[in-house]
Amino acid sequence: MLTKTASYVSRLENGKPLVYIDYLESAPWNWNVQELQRKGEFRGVGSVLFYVAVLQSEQEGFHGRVGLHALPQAESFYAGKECRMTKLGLDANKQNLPYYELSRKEAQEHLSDGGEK
Amino acid sequence: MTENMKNKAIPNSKWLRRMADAEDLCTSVAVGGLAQDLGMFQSAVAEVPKVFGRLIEYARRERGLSVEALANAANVELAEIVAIETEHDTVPQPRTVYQLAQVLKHPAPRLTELAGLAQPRKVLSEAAVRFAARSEPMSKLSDDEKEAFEEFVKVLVEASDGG
Repeated sequence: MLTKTASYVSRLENGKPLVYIDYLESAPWNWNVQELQRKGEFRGVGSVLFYVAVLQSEQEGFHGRVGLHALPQAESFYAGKECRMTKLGLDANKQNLPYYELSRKEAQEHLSDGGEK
Repeated sequence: MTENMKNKAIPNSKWLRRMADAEDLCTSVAVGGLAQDLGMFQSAVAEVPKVFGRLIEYARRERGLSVEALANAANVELAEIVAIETEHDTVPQPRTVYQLAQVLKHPAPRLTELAGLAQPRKVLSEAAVRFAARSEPMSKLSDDEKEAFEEFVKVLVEASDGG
C-alpha cells in the first residue's frame, strides 16, 4: 500500500485534508476459494491495509478521512456496507476511475467496528 | 500514537473475518490511482503477440476439457473464458488468470505476463512470438501445433524456475 498525505483534499467535506491511498492490492492467494479447497494465506489483508490508512488519517489529524480511486473490479468492496465509502463519480484525471471517499463520521464507525474489543 | 489509537491498532478477529469474507466475495481490493498512472492495468505487452487466449485454448483442449468444463473447474464466468479464447484484445481479470493457472497447472506469474497484466520477461516474449508463428486455432491440435504448444509451455516453466 502507498498513501499520500498531501496534494489531495476532501471533496465530501469542503477541502479538508485526507489520506489518499495511491496504491493498494492483495495477491490472489490471499483469497479463500471454496471451490478449489484453497484457504487464503493472509485472508483480509486488504482490509487491514485499508484500516491502517484510516488509522494513519486519524494520526495525522485528518479524523480518518480517506480517498481513493478504486479499480472497477474492486468497486463493490469499497461501495459495500463493510467499507461505507461514498462514490463521488468518475474522475477524468484518473482514466475515468471511480473516486471514493470515507468521511469523518464513516471513518469513526469503521475504526469503532474494527478496533480491539 | 495515542493510547486510544494503540487500542485501535489491532483489528478485532470478528471484524477481520467479516471483512475477509467481503474480500473473498469481491475478489479484488485494488486501488489504482498510481497503478493506472504506471500503466500496470493496461496491456503491457503491446510488442508481444496476444497469445494468452490461444494458450488457454490449447491447454484446455489438450486436457480434453470443454469451455464450460474449464469455466466450472476454474470458477470463472463462461462468457469470460469465451472472450479470452475468441477476442484477442481481452485483458482478463487477475483473479481469472490465477484461477486458470491453478486448473491448467501453469505458473501464474508467467500467465499474468502473457495476459497483459505485467511486463513480460524477454525470454517469454520471444517464446510467444515463436508460438504465435506456429499455431492456428483449430478443432484438433496438429502435430506441429502440439509441438509448438509443448515448447512454449517448457519456456513458461523454465522462466519460472529461473525466478
